[in-house]
Amino acid sequence: MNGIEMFGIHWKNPVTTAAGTFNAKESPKYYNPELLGAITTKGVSPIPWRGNPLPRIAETPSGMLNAVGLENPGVDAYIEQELPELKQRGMVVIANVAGHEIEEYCAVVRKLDKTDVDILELNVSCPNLKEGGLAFGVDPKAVHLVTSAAKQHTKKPIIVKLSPNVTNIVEIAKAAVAAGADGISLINTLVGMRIDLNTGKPILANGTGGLSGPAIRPIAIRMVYEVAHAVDVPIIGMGGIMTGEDAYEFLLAGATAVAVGTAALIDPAAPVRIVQELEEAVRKYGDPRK
Amino acid sequence: MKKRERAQILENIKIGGGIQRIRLHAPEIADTAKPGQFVNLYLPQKQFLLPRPFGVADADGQAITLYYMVVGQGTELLSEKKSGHFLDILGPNGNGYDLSAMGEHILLASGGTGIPSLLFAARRLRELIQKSDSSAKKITAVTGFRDTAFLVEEISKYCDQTFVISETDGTQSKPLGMTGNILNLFFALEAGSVKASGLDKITGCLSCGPMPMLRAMDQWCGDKGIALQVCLEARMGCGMGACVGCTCETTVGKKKICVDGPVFDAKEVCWV
Repeated sequence: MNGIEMFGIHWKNPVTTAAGTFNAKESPKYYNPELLGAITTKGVSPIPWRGNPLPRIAETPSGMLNAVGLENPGVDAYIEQELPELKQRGMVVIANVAGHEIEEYCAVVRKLDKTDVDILELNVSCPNLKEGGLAFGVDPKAVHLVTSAAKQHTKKPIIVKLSPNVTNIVEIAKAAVAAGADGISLINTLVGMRIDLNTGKPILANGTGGLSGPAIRPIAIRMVYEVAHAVDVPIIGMGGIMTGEDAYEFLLAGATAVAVGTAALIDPAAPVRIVQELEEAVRKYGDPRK
Repeated sequence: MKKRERAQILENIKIGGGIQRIRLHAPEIADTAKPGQFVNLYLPQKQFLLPRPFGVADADGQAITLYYMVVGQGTELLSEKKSGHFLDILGPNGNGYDLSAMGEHILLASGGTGIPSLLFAARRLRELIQKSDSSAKKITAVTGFRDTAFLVEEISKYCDQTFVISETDGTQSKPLGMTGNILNLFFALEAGSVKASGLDKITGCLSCGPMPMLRAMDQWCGDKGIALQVCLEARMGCGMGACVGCTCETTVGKKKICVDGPVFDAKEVCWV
């Protein structure tokens, strides 16, 4: 499949990684990241976050729950240690931005604005500590506020990554676009839980976790479809993409590009395999954008 | 590049105590695997996404040996796979024990399913001793189990002395016959109820088992100034360093158990 243009940036193909599933040190042992359209890096916060206690992972039918809690070394370490090598290798880099308050998002955006990162992705699924811990992404007003605030601190394109844990995804997407979002990515994980039969307690130390993997793909397809018909900005579709045909389905739903997440945790080379399989799917089924 | 690959099952049998032994034809992994490293095993049923990480118990020429406890649907399905069938595997993963500078008398202390990686360590240490390629002269194994003991006969082939203790079944415990954990066993041995030759002269220790046991080992070894390497167990996601599902606190910051470990110098681990 030919490359794409997004915000005037050329991607050699429409495949990127989903935030939190690409590790700049480990993932390149399994595939050449330069072969992807873009690399989306793990969420970074203004200061290092310790994340949640273990266990953080539980398996579910055709999926997994994670409650990592966005453990990350902070934006300064990201800018010093991770970003330079990715950019030196000529990759398009999308930095995923996390925060617990609007000012925390802005602090990260301000620092990333001074780097050569290409695109920023706001993770609005984080708990909004000033609003009792409810995720920003479930309230159109909060999404509008965080997006417009972030836009004031950078000229770089901003993608807002939507939470699927809402009644009306279109309303949230419209709020993001009205606030100046240059693109939309969706879906983040769905909130879920598993309970240990022996202890009677949740398996995850955090109680709940985010469900990902092929189990959530039909929900993701439906939401991408709805949002693509309601807003006029590029969409990165994701949610349980395991094969090139899965990716192709997202393009049919209206996504401009796709992100591979959980698949790369199961088969570390999945992102590049999916690039190849997507080419085959396009040959087989035709250009999805026509 | 490293990759997930298909491996033929050479053997997959019950050895008792709810434990299965699986041998896989995997020449490249067998060639490089070190004691303390682990292998990701993927189930053929696609609804089970996550790999099962198992410590390498032996690597010999073309094949690797793993042991696993049948505890859930995944391991149940795994136990039904027959020899001749194929499984996807990835490895060897993680760092492994440092067998080089352990001094003259090495203690191997295991709890439950921690024994396989120490079985591999025992074999390699014995090879080093036979080749006079190590400062090591003597190996003592102390193995603890909740109920039924397993792999004791195997590990004792490579050890000068082997002690067993079960928490629930004293008939499994040899030679003392008492119930308890391995710390109870150490205290009994130190109190002199059994002549454990040279237990007071241990110079280095490798340990693998549940966290509370490893923490207790850290204390026991720390009090005596014995260098201790611990192999941590954790519920992992990817098992290859991408998902950040299995980190631990260390004195030098957060570490990933799957790629920075699973073996750590016990002095570095911040016990929770």
